[in-house]
Amino acid sequence: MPRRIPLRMLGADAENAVAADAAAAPRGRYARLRRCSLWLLFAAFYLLPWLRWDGRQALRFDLPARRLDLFGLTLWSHDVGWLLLTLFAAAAALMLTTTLAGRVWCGFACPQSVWSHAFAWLERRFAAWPAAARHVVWAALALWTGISFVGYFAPIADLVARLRPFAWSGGETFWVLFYALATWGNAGFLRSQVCRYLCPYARLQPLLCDRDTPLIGYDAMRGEPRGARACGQGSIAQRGRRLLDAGTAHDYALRASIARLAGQGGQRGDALASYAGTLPKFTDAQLGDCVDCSACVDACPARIDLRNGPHYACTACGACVDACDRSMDSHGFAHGLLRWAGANAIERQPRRRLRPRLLAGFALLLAALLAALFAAG
Amino acid sequence: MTPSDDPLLDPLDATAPRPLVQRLGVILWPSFLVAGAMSVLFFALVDPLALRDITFPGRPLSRELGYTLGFFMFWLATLSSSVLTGFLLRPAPHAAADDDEPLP
Repeated sequence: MPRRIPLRMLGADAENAVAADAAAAPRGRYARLRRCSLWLLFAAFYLLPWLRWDGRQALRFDLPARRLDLFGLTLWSHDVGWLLLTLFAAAAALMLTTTLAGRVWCGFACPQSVWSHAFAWLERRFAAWPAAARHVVWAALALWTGISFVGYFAPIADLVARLRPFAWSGGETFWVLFYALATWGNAGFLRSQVCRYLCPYARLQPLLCDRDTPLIGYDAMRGEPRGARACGQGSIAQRGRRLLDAGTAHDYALRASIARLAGQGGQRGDALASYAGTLPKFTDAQLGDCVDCSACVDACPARIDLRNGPHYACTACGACVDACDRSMDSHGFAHGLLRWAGANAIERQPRRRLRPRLLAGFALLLAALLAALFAAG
Repeated sequence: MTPSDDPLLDPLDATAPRPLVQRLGVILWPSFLVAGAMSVLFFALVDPLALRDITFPGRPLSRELGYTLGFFMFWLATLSSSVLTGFLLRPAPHAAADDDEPLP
């Protein structure tokens, strides 16, 4: 069944390079929702210090006066118990959210994602400009971030008014520059490396997820054995090939991933190849729906191959899902080879009703609420 | 196929060396995090001015300076602990004359 594949020519000039880069940004519905959330939080951080409430700054940690203004509510330093209780409840809520919905915190709300996303967006906008322009814009944004951060502690209107002529105290200057430097380094350069090497939540998160937690999963039963094939073959559903059983699918996926690593050559490559054994040569009719185009790995900001199974450094940004769906579109296959689902759903197993991690999260949240009631009453 | 830029993404090679920025990061960042949390807890209970009165009475130290100094003292403590831990986690020096094969 011949199909037209949507193609367009891109020249080598800068304008088209920008267009190609924008086309590479994730475009699906999930990605749009995520972008909205990130920009919303981005704006909220800069606008919140300017919000007034009953004639005072709505949210301000007044360190010299040792008070916290919170939308008309005032907390003093002896109310630190409430602060701890709030932190505990927030941790329990995060735990519960992770078990229920996977890594939504990372993708939708983590400050590291918010500012990495903003800095990457600026980088794309200024791709056609000399690198110096990008750095000037980055530095300006980082400085404004530092000023807004200090604006949560010192009155921000006063802080900005004292910018010209410059009359900041040593402490204010120091903390603005410190926070600006941290933003510039983390969001401009480190980005997903922070998630991979420095984030404790990333390491804890696999313990909080079970087989019903929706993560981005690879449907190995449908996709394996992977491989390039002659065009016009149709997907397994169109050809009437059945799904593999989960064990065989995992075996093919594992051996394909080892074969790719073994292809790096050298002594280690030989050792890996002898461990994995040679994969059988599959005919086009036997192949699954994964065309092994590696669009998912290329789209991943951390270069993770999720076909090898879940990875703790995956922040569930969904770029691979969109890339895979585009590839499936161009082959005329159904979406969802990489999709947002739990391991049980991917392997066509029934959902579990009693989930110990979910119960533990509920218990902790309930304990926090009871403690709050007890302290208030 | 774009190869991974990151040796740690290779699940079969756990001993791949880490770049300098990551080795610094795992020392600087957790110590910063704990120092921040400790400062919040400590200064919620202790007023820097009261602390000044029992240590350096008569010196014109403001509250802001007290908070900043306190934070960096905490960071210095947590940082030195992290540096020591990082140092002790390094592999022990190998006897040079050992003629056993290096691990693959």
